Amino acid sequence: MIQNHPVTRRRALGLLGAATTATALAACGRERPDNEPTAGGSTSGSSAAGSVRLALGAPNPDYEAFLTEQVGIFNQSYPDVEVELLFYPPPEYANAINLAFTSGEGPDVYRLTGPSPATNMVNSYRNDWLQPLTPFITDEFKARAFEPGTWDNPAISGLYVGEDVYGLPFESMRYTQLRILYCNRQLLADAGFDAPPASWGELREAAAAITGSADGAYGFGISGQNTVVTVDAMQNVAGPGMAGIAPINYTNGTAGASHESYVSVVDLISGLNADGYITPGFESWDAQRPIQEFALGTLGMYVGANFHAARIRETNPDLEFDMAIIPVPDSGRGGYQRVTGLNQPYWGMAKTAQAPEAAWALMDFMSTPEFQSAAYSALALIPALTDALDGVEISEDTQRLLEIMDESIRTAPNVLENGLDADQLLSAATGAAPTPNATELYTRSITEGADYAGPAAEFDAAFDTVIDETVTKLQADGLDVDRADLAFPDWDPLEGYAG
Amino acid sequence: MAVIANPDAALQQRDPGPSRSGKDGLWSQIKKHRWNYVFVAPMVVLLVMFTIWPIVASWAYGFFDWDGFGPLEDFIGLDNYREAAGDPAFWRAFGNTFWFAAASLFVQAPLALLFALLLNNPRLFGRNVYRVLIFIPVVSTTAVVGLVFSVLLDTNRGPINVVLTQLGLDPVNFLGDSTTALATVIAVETWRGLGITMIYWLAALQTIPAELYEAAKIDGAGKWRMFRSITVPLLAPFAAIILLLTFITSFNAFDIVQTMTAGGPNGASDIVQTYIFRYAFAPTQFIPRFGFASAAALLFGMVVMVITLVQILVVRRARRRAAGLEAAR
Repeated sequence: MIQNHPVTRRRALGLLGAATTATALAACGRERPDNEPTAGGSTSGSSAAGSVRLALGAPNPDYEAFLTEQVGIFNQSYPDVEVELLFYPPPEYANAINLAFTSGEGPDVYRLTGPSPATNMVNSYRNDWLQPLTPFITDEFKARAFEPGTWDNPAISGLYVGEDVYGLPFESMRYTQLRILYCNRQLLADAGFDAPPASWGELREAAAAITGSADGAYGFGISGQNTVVTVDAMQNVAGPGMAGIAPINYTNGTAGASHESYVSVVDLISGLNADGYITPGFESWDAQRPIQEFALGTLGMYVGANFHAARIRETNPDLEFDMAIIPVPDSGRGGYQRVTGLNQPYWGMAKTAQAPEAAWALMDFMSTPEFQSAAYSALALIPALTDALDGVEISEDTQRLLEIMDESIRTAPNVLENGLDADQLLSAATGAAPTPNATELYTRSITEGADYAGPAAEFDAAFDTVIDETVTKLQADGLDVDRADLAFPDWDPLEGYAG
Repeated sequence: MAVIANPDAALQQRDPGPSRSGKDGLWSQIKKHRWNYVFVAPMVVLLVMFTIWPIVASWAYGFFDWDGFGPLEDFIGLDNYREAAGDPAFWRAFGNTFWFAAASLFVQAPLALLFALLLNNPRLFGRNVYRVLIFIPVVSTTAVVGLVFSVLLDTNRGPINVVLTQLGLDPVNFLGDSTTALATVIAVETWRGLGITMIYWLAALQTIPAELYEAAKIDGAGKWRMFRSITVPLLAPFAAIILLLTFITSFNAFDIVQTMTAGGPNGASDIVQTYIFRYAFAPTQFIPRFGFASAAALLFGMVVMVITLVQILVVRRARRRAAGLEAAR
């Protein structure tokens, strides 16, 4: 049985009201009874019964239609499980989930990923929202086509906190982290190039040629409000993969904003701007604007995410473009695009789930190749199960995405491997990073031509001090942390990290 | 009409007066005005829930390292306040916020007065149409206004830059250049809010009796003299309120800034509201910092309060001095 509940103002107010009244009621025991789930694991259709509330921040209405249809299929095998679907706009998702758990009305199964890290697996675990899935997981379940190493290598699996599994994957982790160089085929051809650039030198040449050859078109584009996507993607192929406002070089556990790989990519993009190869006005572009400019046919190349291809085709079906691997430095590849685990924990089961068996039945169903294959057809995402696309007619775009994923992404260390306290160290230090942070520094350099290397070195010195102070503070609080928790000296950025 | 011969006696008859016990007195007062309390109660409850409580709570949050999720556990004293006070980006946003306020007081309000004076002329043909046209931006959704202007001002294909280019001028990077972004957003916000300020001035202008102008005209006064000797003195009591309202409204520039530049480029158009929003609701790389955002908000509120107090004291002293001079004459 399906009940759809799009988030309306009335519902939001209802939740708010519930927050004020149910706090008291929560103490009276919406806690799940201590009945541990049957270790029998994957629940048979007849044994599971009860209601399951599934919550997710849905990026688009297609998710609602897809899940509604799939719940109908699920109910054919589990007629006694009543599934209620709760959809939230992604920007409101984290607050909605927090409010729901605070008011004792948390969902039974919910999406762990979203724009805010607040609902991710580790933070959900810290908030005591999740229950371990390990007791449910059977050999049959493990035998499904998850990424090799998922169940026998907790260090890089991505689904573990400590020794227990707390999340299940839906989308391929590598797919979600994929960055691509989108190239306008016609503009490249008009500029004398028959293939996308493979190196930074070629990228610069192509950008210059496109800008000079086509009226109103520019060689390269970047969102001034979101430079981090392009800079991190290009840094990742130049050195040890780092990311974010306060990058850390995990080969030695030190601040990495002034690492040669960052300095060289910032120099490259600043140079493109200084030479007039980047579309004027990019400084105020939001993250969507490069997609629109590219679809209009006025932008030669830009670095974008996996889902941009579908957006571009939707906006301008006649545009011919190539999806290419991020070009590497002229001196050669220094690293790969990074993923910090084999899997992205997408679904989690709440500790307060009223009917854990029924909740697991739904999670189990969503981890079948049939479900994930249907997800590809409906949502055009590449699923986590590697056999989900077997026998499915896939588009040329998907085929290309799969090739790029294989060629350009490798696993990198995850600090969580060194324990929850180590992860807290990373989170606390990043939250206390000096300002202006690395992203602000290189954005200023790219948009205004300001020096980057000097201020980045100063930032790194200050951030290293912040890390040391955070270690001291957390140690005083009784946490088991050490500066070495951030260092993985055995990691070779040109190889996948094996844990 | 009924006339009460002795109103005091009538009042005494109706009002039993304070009882010997203060408790009974209060109770009898409450009982007497019970329906007033009943009608006021919903508003008071809403006020407490959605205004008073968030303000008081934010004072407390500022002392915690709190992400907005889970219990308040990590008390850090004044660290958030110190961090905000030591952050140049906060003070830049603070300064930009006051540029908005200054523009509202020194550009928008005088401009609105000018339009109000023009449109208050009963002989002006189509003045109601002009009034509506100037007021339309006020009732337009700010986010839509922001998006429309972003398109109009686009460096590459925006109509304004197309015109500039056709005139042989260089295109202007209105929103992408640190030197022009803030001024551009302020100009759009000034345009957007012009209508409401103009309505305030119009309302004030319409309280001035037409007879005064007629008498002045008979006495041979010109337009400038009438403006100086009739309009300005009679508008003065309203001006303080209108300027205060305009000043307060200028602090609501969040939506126009967020939609046009999101505070960029490089923080050039950042205002305190967008600064707080980024830390509390839209961090892209870290967990929200509600505690820090609350501290920044409180710090901003405190500085505004100090400035307002200084302003009140200065105005009061000036009034006293003026009153003293008047008495001395």
